[in-house]
Amino acid sequence: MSEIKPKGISTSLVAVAVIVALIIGAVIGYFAKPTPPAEVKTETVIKTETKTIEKTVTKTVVGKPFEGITITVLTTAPCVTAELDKEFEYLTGAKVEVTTVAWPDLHPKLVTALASKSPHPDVFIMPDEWVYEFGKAGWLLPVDEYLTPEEKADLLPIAVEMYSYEGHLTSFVFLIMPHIMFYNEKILSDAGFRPATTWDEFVAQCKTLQEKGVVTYGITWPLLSGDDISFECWASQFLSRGGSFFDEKGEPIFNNEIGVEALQFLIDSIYTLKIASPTSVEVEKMACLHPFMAGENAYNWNWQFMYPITKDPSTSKIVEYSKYCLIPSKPGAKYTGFIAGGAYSINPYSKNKEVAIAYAKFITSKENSLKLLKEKGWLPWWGSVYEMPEAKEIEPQLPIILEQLKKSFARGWFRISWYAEFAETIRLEISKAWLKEKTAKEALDSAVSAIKEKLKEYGR
Amino acid sequence: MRWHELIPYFFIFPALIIIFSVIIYPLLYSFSISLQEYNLLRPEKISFIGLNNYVKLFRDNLFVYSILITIYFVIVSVFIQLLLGLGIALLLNEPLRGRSLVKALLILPWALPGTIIGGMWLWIYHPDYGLINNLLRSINLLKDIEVISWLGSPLLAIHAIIITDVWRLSPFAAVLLLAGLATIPKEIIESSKLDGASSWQRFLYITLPLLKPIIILFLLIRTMFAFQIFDIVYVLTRGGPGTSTFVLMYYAWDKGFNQLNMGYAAAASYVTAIFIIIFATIYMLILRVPLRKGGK
Repeated sequence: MSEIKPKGISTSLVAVAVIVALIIGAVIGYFAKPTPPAEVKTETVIKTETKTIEKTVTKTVVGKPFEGITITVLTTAPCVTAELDKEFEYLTGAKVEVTTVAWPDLHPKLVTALASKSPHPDVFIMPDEWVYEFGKAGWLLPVDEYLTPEEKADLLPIAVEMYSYEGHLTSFVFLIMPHIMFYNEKILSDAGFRPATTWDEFVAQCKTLQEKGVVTYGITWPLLSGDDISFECWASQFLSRGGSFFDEKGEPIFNNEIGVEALQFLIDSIYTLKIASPTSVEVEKMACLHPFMAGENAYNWNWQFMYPITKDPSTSKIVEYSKYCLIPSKPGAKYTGFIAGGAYSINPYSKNKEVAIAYAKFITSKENSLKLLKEKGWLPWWGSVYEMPEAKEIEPQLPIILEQLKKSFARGWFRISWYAEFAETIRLEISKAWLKEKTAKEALDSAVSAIKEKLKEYGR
Repeated sequence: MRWHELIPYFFIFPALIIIFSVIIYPLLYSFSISLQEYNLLRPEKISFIGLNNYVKLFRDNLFVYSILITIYFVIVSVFIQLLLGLGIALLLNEPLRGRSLVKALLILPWALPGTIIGGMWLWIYHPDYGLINNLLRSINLLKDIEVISWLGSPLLAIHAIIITDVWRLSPFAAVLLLAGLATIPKEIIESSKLDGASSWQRFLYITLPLLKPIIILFLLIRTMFAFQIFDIVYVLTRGGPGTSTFVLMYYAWDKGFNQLNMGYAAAASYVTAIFIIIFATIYMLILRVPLRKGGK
C-alpha cells in the first residue's frame, strides 16, 4: 500500500502539471505577436509593363496605407492566391483573412450573407453565371470607376460583357474559360486527319479511327445528369448548330428543330453511331477526360480549364499530344459553346471597400494574370497579355483559344436570375432522352413548358 | 417552494437553454419557414402561404417518386444489412481463430466518412476502369470494350447505392447483434443441447427470440438514418441518372441549397421527418411486446 500511494500522487501531479503547462503555453501562444514576415525585396514586384500598376505598387510599398485593416475573402480555392495574398499584405499592410468553402456551398453562403446585408465577406469569388442574379438583387458593387480608360480598353470585350450588369462592370476577373475541344494530335495526324471543323466530319473521323482500332471511342461526353455540364454539352451542340434559346419576346424556343437535332445527335452518337462511349451518361467533366488522357479517345469536349490536367504527366499519357481545337459547328453558327469566368466581386455592404477593391485589382493585375496563366493555365482578361512573348511561350495555342472565345456565349446573357434552377430543369428533362425514357422532342417539349411555367411564376 | 428545491432546476437550466437553442428553436423556425413562400433569390416575395408548400409537394411527381424510391431503399438496404449482420455476428460468436482481428476490421467501413466511401465505390463502379467490370472482363463475362454502366442505368444505380450502403453498415448490425448474442445465457443453450435441440431449432427458438429487442433497436436506428441517406447519393449519382436516385434528402437539398427555395425544402424535410416518426412508432410498438413478456 505504502508503495502504491505516493506513485499515484506523483502521476496525478505530473498529469496536472502537463495540462497546466499546455494551457499556459496555449494562452501565451494565442496572445503572442506573430513573427513579422521576412522582408521581401520589392524589385520583382515592381517590374511591370504598365505604368499605372507600377505607380500603385510603389505608392503602397512606401505608405502601407492599409496597415491594421483586415479584409475577409470568400473563395473556393485558397491555394490559387495564397502567395499573392501574402504579397498584398506585405505591400499594403492589410491583413487578408481567407475563408474557403466547397463549390456547392458557395452560392447559399453568399446569398444568405448578402441578403442579410452582412459586411462579410468583403471580397468574394464570383462565377459569371450569377452576375444577373446578384446584379438584379443589388449585391454587386460597380467597379468601372476603379479602372483607368487605358485599362478598360485593354480588357477582352467578352470578359467585360460577361461580368457586366446594366452596363456596369461588376467584378475583377482572374480567369476566363470557354468550352473548347481537346484532341490527340498523334492519333489524328497518324490517320492523316486535321481537327474536325463540322460535326459530320467529326463523326466520320471517329468512325474511321474506331474501325482502325486506334481508339475505343471517338469521344466520351460528360452527360452526368446531376451536373450542369450535361446541360452545357447539349447547349454547345445547340449553339453550334445556330440555335437560339429564346425568341425576341423572351419566350423559350429551344424545343425547335435545331434543339431536337442537337439532342438527337448526342443520343445517336452513343447508341446508333457508337462514336461516343456509352459511359458518357454517367460521367462529368473530370471522369470524361480519363479515357482521353489514357489515349483511348481522340477528342474531348470540355471546359478549357481542364486542359492543364491533360498536360500533367502524373495523370496523362498524352502530355505531348493533347492540343486545343475549335468546337465543330455548322457554317454560320455565331456561337459554339459557353464561356465561364472566375472573378472577385466586392460586397456592397463591406466596410472596407477601398481595401477590398485594391485587393481584387491586385490579384487580377496584368502581371498576376500572367503568373496565373503560367502556374495554373488560367486565361487572363487582359487583351495585351495574350500578345506578351512570355504568354505565347507559356501557351503557344493562345490564338486558337482567342478564336474560340469569339464564338462563346455568356450564361448571363440569358438574363435569368434563377439560372441554377433554369439549367437544372433543362438537364433533368433532356437526360430522360438519353436514358431513353422520352424522345428528344418530348424531353425538350417538357423542358420548355417547365421553363415557361417558371418564367410565369418567377419572372426573369 | 424553498430555495434549495430550486437548485436542481438551476443546474439543468444551461442544458435546457442549449436544447432550446439548438433543437427546439431550429425545429420551430424551420416549421414556420415551411409555411412560407421563402426563396432566398426572391426575398421581396417572402410571405405566409399556409400549407401551400405541402400541397405543392404532393402535386410534384418527382417528390412522390422520391418518397417511393426512398422507402424502397430503406426496406431493401436495412433488411439486407440485418441479414448479413446477423450472419456475421453468429459466425463471430463462435470460437474461431483470428476472431478479434476480424472484429476490429469489421468496424472499418462503418468508421469511414460517407463521402470517402462514395468516392471509393465510384471507382469500383467505374465502367471503364472499375474493379467490378474488370473482374467481369477477367472471367470473360464482358468483352473488352463492353461495359456495364452501374451508375448510368436507373435500375442499376439505386441498387449500386444499396450495395454501397450495405457494405458500409452491415458491420454496424454485426457489432450490435454480437453484443446481443453475448448477453444470451450459455446455460439455456447448453440445456437445450441436452434436450436434443438441433442447431436450427436453437437458433429459431432461443437465439432469435432473445435477440428480438436488439433487432428492433437496430431496425429503429437504421431506418431513421436510412431515410436520411444523402452523402453516398451525392457522391455516386447526384440524384441521377435522370432523377432515378432522387431520394428524399437529396430532393430537399436540391430545393434548398441548389434552388435556394428554403420554404419548400423545409416542407420536404418535415414530410421526411413524419415518415421517420411513423416507422419509429411502428418499431416502438413492436418493441413493447417482448419487454412486457419479459416483465411477466
